[in-house]
Amino acid sequence: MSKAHYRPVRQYSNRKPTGLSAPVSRIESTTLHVMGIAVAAISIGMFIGALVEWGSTNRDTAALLISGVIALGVGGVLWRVTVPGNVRARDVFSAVGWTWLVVTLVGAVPYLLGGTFDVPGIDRSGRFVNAIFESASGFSATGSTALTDFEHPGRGMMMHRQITQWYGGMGIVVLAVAVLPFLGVGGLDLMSAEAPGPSGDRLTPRVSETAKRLWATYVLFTLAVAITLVVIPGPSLYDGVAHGLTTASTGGFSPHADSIGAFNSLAVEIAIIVGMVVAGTNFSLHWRMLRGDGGAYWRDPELRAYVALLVSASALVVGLLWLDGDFSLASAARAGVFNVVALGTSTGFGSAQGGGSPGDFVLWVPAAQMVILLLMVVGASTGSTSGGIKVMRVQVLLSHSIRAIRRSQQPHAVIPVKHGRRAVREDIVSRMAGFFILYLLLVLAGIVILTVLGSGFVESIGATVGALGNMGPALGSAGPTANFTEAFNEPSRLVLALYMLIGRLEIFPILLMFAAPIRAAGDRLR
Amino acid sequence: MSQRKASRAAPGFGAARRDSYSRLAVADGLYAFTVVSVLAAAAGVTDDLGDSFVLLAVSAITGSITIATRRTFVRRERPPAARVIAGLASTWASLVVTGSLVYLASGTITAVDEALFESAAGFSTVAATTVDPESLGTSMSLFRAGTQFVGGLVGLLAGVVALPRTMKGNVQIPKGRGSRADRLVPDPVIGRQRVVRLYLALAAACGFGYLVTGLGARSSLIHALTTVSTGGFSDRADSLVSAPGGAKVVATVFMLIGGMSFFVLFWLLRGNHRRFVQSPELRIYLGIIGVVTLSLLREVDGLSVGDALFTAASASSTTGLAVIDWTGFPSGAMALLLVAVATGAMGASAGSGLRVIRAWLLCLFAALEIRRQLDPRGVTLVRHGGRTLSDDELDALTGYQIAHFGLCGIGAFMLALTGDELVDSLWTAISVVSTFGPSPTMGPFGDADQLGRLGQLVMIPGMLAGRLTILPLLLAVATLQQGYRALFLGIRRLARTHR
Repeated sequence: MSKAHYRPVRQYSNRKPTGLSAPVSRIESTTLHVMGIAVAAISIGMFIGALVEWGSTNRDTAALLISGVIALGVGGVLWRVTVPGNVRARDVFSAVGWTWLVVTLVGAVPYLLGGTFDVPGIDRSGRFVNAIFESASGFSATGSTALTDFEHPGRGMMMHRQITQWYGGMGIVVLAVAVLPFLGVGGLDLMSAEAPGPSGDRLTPRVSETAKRLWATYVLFTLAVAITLVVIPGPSLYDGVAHGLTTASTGGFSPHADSIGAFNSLAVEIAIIVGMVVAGTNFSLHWRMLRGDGGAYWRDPELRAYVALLVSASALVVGLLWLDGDFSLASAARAGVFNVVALGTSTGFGSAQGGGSPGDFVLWVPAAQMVILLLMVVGASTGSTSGGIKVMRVQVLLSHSIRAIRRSQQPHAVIPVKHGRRAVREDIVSRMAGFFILYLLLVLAGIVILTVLGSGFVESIGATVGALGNMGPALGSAGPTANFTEAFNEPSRLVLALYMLIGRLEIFPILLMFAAPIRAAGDRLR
Repeated sequence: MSQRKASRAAPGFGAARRDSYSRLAVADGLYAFTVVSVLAAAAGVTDDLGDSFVLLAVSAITGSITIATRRTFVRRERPPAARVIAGLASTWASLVVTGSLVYLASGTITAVDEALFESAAGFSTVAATTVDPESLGTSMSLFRAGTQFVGGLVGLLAGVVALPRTMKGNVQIPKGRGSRADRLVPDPVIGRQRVVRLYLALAAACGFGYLVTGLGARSSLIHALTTVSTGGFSDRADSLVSAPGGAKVVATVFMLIGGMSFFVLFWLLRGNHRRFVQSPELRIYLGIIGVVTLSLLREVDGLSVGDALFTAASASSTTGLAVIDWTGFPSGAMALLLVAVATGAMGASAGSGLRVIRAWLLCLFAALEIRRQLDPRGVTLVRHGGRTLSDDELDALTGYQIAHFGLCGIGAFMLALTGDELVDSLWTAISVVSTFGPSPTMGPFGDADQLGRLGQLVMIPGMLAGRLTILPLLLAVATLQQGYRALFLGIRRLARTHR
């Protein structure tokens, strides 16, 4: 690709660009350009799926191939006919928000063409909604499913489903930034807008290098999990790869209806637990460890709190299950630790072998379910592939709350908000508080909308928190052994699909994706 | 003697009169308690002599303590915030303990924990009860309603007079405007007098309204005390379900008023209609009730407009009176009611909850965050009621509310530990912290026996936090922590000395 096609434009600048100008035939749009690359990139997953399908069940090969060609064609055209323009704040949100929305729609095409949801009792609109839901759940690495029959889709289609989560885990836009060095400073904003957590961590001075390193770490980690699973007796190569993809992305999709419970293997569960904990850790720390700085883990106050949270929540849940008397200590420990880690890292794998088994957490004592709900809200570390509010934000907000209370007694005291030993800047504290309030308002709105649409109260709470935190299973009749088609009606599933994207992109890109088009339309009218 | 006069006069008494804000706050609370007890005893003397005797005996003790305290101590003009908070916590705790003694001594309740719960529910204006209200005599029924009346008054004085003078970031208090006479609290003494007079006048009007609509003298008085205070206790087991239609209208009107800020009520009484009508908080408060009413009508088949409005007003003002069993409503209606209960009443009112103004400002704060994202270098401000909120106010607002949400979460977890279902635990915790009371667990009439004894005890600190903000509760925790630390250090010193 010739460099002459692009304009070097400064971030947040309305000045006329100097130097090379774009040919008149190309449309200047960062949104369409990033979208083009992302849509083209997801076609690779579809082709891989087609390959797997061709070599195994060979039922959905054509659907996956056609979808791949469509994605590559649409993405390629968008990529070629556009050039990136200004990267102002509103353009960043527009690019990220619209890209994710379009990628979700394109990702649903294989399900529609392959008839994945063509099952008795579901009409055409239901199939369409289910395809969108499944695609959104995939790319947002949520893990909720609308599939009622896991035997119906072919292995390749299921592999496509797993790969959507893998893309979503690290982020499609991060991938785009890795191959788009010309986006320059704006690339960091694009990455930050997509990355989970309060701030994008820059590993190198060049943003595209940072994106490449993050993806390299992600690929290495995925391979490590997949190889571990294949080596362990039980899972096949297909299972190992499929679960490796969704463990590294903290997605939680599985080709089996019983998820990890299908293997009924303690060794598999331990491997997945370790994988989920690592995936819930800041990937910058993994990169530093790979560079020989192993102490970075211990120095990070967020990681210490994250591990402490998982350990204490596991101990509490195991204790509650054991004291309840329905479980032996061993089965309480096995089911308790797995589910705490699965939901604490927002992965959402299940360890239940059908409803009523120890891993079915909707049957646990209410206090244990309350712990699960808390973990679903908190999530794991910033800079990881997980969802939720994130441990760092919770730490800072707790410190902020304690300061407000101390100030009520000592009104003139100067008390900094601290994270670890470092004082956090006031504007960052304020932004985190704003994010938290917005998050709560969205949860509240989601619960009201779902209940008004006819869902049960407990299901609505679990599904809203689960969708916004990208967890997967919800509570009540939408638990780990259930599917969302039976628990929620079509409008509710669409709302939840939107919430998954909002949660994955940490609210703002989806809320503000219309800001740039509206401003552009306003400018044109003027 | 006014506070200013008292502080000037203090040196004249020499060292005999010591300064103690907390003790005098407790004395003020006990004074109100004495008045209520004496009136309840007098009203029920022909009905149940034993109860009246107990009430008189306890009021004699509390009255003596009040007089002795007022003679011994003097109040500083502007105490620090920590003392005000400690005073509020002490007042509430002493009222709860004294109230539970009355229940135990009269034999109304025999278990200590249940008596403590009943008393705490009364002084926190929570409509949850452990007794069958129809089994009580006149004096005990009146006393029980009186506890809510006193609780509402303590909450009002704390929110309107005591806390705003000492603490930063009280967003619920409108900035003073106009002449001194046009302000509700130009100084603490006048402020206190105005609040008490307005509160009594509202209770009298409400009682008269009930009487006229045929509720009966005793029931009118009891419901007047518990409606204006947004308490929700009733002398009937089915609350106001079987009350005349007119009484339900009166209850709806006075619940709405009970949830209104005393500042806006004061403006209305002073003839400042424009400021009253233009109050953004009032508009939002009435808007919430309107939306909830319409939603209930849409969600619940066969619900009358009156019952929907009553239920919405009861939830928004956090009163807890009921005319219908709403716990069987569809989940959409239940979710809306929970939002109304959690949001609560206006700031500086007898009601509780998050408060409308705080909820509104939190929404504005969230909107500010969205604007900041679009313009990261721009100066973005939160404006409300024609003024810009300071960083201190926003800090306090978000900081306290995070603690408030945390408290609801802890309460729900504690209830879940007692075996309550997840949604029911959340509902009950939010309902109790908002001082509403009823929940799907306790039913529409607040049957606290459904909580179990552990659940009742767990909810008592939540009631304190709901009535007097979270600060007194945290102070109590900090004091306990300091007490344990002092005890630990003392034991260690003793051990060293012994060695």
